[in-house]
Amino acid sequence: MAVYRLDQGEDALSLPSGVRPKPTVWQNLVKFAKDKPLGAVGGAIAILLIIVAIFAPLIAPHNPRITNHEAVLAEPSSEMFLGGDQLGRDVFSRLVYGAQISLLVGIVSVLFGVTIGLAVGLVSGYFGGIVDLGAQRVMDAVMAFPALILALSIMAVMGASIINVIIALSVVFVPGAARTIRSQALSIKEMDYVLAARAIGASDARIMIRHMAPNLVATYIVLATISLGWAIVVEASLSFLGVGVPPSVPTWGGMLTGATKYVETAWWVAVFPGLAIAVVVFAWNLLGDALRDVLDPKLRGAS
Amino acid sequence: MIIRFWNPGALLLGLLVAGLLLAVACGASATATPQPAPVATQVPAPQPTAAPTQAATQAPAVPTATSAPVTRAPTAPAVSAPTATPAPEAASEASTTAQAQAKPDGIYGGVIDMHVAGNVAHWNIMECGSGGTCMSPTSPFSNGLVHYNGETPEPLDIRGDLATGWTVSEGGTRYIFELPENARWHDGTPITSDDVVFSINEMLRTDVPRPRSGQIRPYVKGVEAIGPYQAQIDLHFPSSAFLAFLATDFMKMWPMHWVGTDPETQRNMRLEENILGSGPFRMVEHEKDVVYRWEKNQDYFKDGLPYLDGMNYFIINDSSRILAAYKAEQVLMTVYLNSNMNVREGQELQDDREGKGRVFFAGPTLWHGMLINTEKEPFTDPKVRRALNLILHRQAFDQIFGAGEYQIGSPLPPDQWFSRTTEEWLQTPGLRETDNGEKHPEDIAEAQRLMAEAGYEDGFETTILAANFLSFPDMAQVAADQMERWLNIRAVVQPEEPAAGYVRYESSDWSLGFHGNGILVMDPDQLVAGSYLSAATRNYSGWEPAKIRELYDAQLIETDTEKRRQLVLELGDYLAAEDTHVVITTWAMLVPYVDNRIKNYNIASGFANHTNKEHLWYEDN
Amino acid sequence: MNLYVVKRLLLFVPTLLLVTIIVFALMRLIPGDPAYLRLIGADGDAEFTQEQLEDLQAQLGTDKPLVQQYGLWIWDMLRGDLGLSMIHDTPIVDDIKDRLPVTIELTILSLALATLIAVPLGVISAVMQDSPADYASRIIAIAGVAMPNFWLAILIIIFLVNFFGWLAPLRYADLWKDPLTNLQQLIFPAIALGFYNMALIARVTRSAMLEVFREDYIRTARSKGLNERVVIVRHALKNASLPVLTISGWQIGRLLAGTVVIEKIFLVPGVGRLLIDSIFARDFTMIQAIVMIVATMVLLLNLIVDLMYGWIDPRIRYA
Repeated sequence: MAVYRLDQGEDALSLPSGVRPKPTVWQNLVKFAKDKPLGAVGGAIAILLIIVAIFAPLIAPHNPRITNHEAVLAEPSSEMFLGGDQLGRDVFSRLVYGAQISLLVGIVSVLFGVTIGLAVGLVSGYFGGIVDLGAQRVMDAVMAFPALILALSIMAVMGASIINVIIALSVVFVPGAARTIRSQALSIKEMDYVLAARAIGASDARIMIRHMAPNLVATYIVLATISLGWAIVVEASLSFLGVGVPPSVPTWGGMLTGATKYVETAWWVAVFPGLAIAVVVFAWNLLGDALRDVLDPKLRGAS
Repeated sequence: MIIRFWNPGALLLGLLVAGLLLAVACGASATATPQPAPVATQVPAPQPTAAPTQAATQAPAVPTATSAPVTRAPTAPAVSAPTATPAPEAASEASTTAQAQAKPDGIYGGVIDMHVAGNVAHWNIMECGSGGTCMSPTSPFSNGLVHYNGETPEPLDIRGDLATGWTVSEGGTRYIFELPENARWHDGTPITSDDVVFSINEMLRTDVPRPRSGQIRPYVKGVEAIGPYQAQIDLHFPSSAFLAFLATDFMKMWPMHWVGTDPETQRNMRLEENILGSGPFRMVEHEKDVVYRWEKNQDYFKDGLPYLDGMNYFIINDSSRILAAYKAEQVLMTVYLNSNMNVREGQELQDDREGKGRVFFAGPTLWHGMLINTEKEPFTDPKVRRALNLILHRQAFDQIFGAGEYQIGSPLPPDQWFSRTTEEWLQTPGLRETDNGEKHPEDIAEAQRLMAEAGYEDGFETTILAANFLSFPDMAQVAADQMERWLNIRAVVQPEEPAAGYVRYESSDWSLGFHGNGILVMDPDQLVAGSYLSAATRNYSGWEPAKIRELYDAQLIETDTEKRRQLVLELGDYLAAEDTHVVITTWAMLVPYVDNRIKNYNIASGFANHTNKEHLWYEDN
Repeated sequence: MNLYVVKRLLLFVPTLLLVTIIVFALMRLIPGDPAYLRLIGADGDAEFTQEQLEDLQAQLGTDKPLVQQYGLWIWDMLRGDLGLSMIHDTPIVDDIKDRLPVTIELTILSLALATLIAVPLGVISAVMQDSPADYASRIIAIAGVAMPNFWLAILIIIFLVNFFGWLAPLRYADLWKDPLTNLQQLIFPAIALGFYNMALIARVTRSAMLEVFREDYIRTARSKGLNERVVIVRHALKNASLPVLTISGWQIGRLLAGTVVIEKIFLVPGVGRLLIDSIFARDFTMIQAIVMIVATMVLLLNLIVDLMYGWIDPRIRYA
């Protein structure tokens, strides 16, 4: 089994220094691809998705919001690769722009959620005692609500908008991340270098930020990657139920709302958005699994 | 009722339980034989007048198209009978006997599974404004004085419901209704003229909401019992619209002894536990979100009716599931005209059923349109409202949602006797398009000029509220796209569940909205009062220019048909050319579905007709 | 041991209390006054007076201070009274009583189906590690995690309608009165709902089996010349079942949430559909009651799983 270490700096994945010359990023990637072919495939799809999202205006042949009464449920053609939807909009262009929303909502909410979870877990694990007890009770209470139900309730309260979807999803991810980080923090707290830092009188904040947090980065990355797939599915579910992102914004979940209606005349309306969600979540899961095995095998089964 | 020989549920079960091959589930095959039935039937709109001598009124026969494509209906002949005056011969004594249902030959009975699009809001029919959420579930257990005859396709055939007949006298201002002596409420109490007087007076009350039943207020002067089984209603002026309103399924009779006459101590008729009717069915079960179950009223006062042994109204509020439910025969018909399907969906269902059932395209029965909050910046500026009225491309809405079968979104429905013809409206700025089917460039230029004049040459940002109902969120997206394309107005569509959406409309927490409004009776009184006066159903910002009120009041009492027509035409032109609070995009059709095994079904001429179902029965083909 | 149980139980109470506060706060933040919503009617064109509005507010108790409303709500719940639906005036208990068994049955059925398929899949995968069969089953498992349940539900409906012209009868059949119809109605929703869990359980089974295979006693058993099938079933699977069971326990919360979408698509009259309809109807008391019940169920279940886990495996201690 190869050994990887996550240091600061650009050599993100490297062998322990001093043994051999530091391999380049490229060498690390090649090694990763060799060890974890499925993970590499996932990573490739994920990168492709990011490229599609960034260059959406260049890739999409049509404006995803332009309705066209002459292309209602139009069959796939050279003009519209994946056909037209019930308002005559280009399904392919909407899928391309939909990638933006899926990624934006997914990445931002996961970053918020997991970062807050990191902070809570770190503080909770570091201080212990009453702080820990209180924080863990709150996390337990939030965790008692299944994710979709919590997100639905929050959306019902705040109304449909991208920001609100991000807030709702962030809340959902906090307790899980806090729990995992806390258990890691508990063991790191007892490490020699933390004890040493405390002995020389470093402040709590300094110990947490300078000494403990860097050692939680691997866990953080794995948590974020694994949560991202789930975030995309929950966002799609909310949009599908009609309480997510407003419908004029193209989203994959929103495109599936009412998809059972025109199935005989226009199967492409129901098939492609679902396929897009499945492929992308699949890719992130593959990548997440591979990263976990490589960076932090202890997290196995923690998802 | 329908058990399939090869049912995949059973199939899968068999596989799982036995772990063996194709286990065949219970039951006999019930594959219906396709019948060469009329597939698309276009139905005229509710007509203004059942003249007192409705037997004499000749209404156009319903054209029955036998081929699949929807043909545009000659919905209303340009000169149909006006409302304010009855025909001269009707002024004389006229007597009508009704309740003519004769028991048909052959098998009758059965239990039918039907589809209704939403839960009941409440059970108080007097306070009810909605077809789906209170009228249709109230109807099976209630009777009106008169109703539209469900046994003929004749749209103007008004018959006695509770009344066995009626006479008209005093120049058309006095109606005397005869009641049967054997009629009983479901608790066994006899129905007398006191109940009728009580119920009519309840409809006339102004201290409580009467959104639909109050429509008879402008006509009725008073009501009194002139015998135990005779009730007399006096009108302010002769009007045949009165009977047309009275026959709709919002005008139901209430048991006086049960409800109570003292407003302070009256029973709360909104509650399910207080239901007491006289109608052909009794409700035996109601499970929210799932089903209303009805059983035949064995003691119904109409001999031999109802034919059905029972009905199940299944509540399917997810519009995307409705098509699947019809295709899989989970339900066999729509409870009233509104199935929540649009024309395209109806056409798909029609193709799929291959003649095993009929899809009707009934209309125009409602308008779709973009509501404008005239109290809110920047829509306080009439120039902006005018620009919006000019910019929406009505024909695109028709193509997308009506597959080209809706009628042009003129302020008043086209081709009615009180409105302009489709051809005329198609020349009007805002409604016209170029020869190759594009938005007329002059209208775009004029709208842009108005926006610039109002100080919005770069557009603005706004929102469109759209209740999750009848494709309104989709329509709002088309409107948003068109406004952005030509006027650079960036609108965010906000879908809301109907209840939440209405709260926002009422509290002025909205800018633009996309909605619709059903027309009870195709009459100028109803159209103007229901859509354009400050108290109109969807006029949430209370917009009402003096000119509109003036013209409405004048036509209300005008007895000369041609003069009245001119007044209403002027009103329509004002709405098209000057100002409005709603940009109507289409005059739309409702798309109900009926399986061929349901017999004696005739499409209703309005959304509030034929809903008590006493005349239907079920028969395997 | 006892200390652990007592501690765990003591911590359960404040957590539950926090849950009630979260539920209450969430529902009171919703815009729109329930009294107003009710008077205005579903079509929004009903007329009413300010006086009627205030009367109804008083009747519903929404005119009282928030703290008092909260206190009353908790007190009523403690007495087993969930109150009346704000929109329909019917006792919430009646609705829940009818709906909860349906959802529980659906949840159990989907979990059972998932386990039935997933465990053999995981075992095959582990026994034939790195073979094409392993890769295939792993891909199926990961695909299952990726496939959104509502899309699967849509595809199932499309498939049934277009190829069979069939969907289960709408009138819900009680499990005990008409089990065949009942199963027909729930089998497809259960598949759509449980697919994710099937995938997850397959993955966990595989990794747990792999870990067990490395243990000494398996090597011993094998070296004794025991039949491979006996080794797998008697020893490996038995020991690997612990993490699998735990995962299944934890997944019930997710399954319960999934019923919201699945019950809506398949028109199953369960609590999930009641919840989504109540959210859209702004039926505060109903939402409160359902979310409360779901959260309490999840908490209780996790408590039970934790206690069982601590009891089965003494190495686990509450940290």
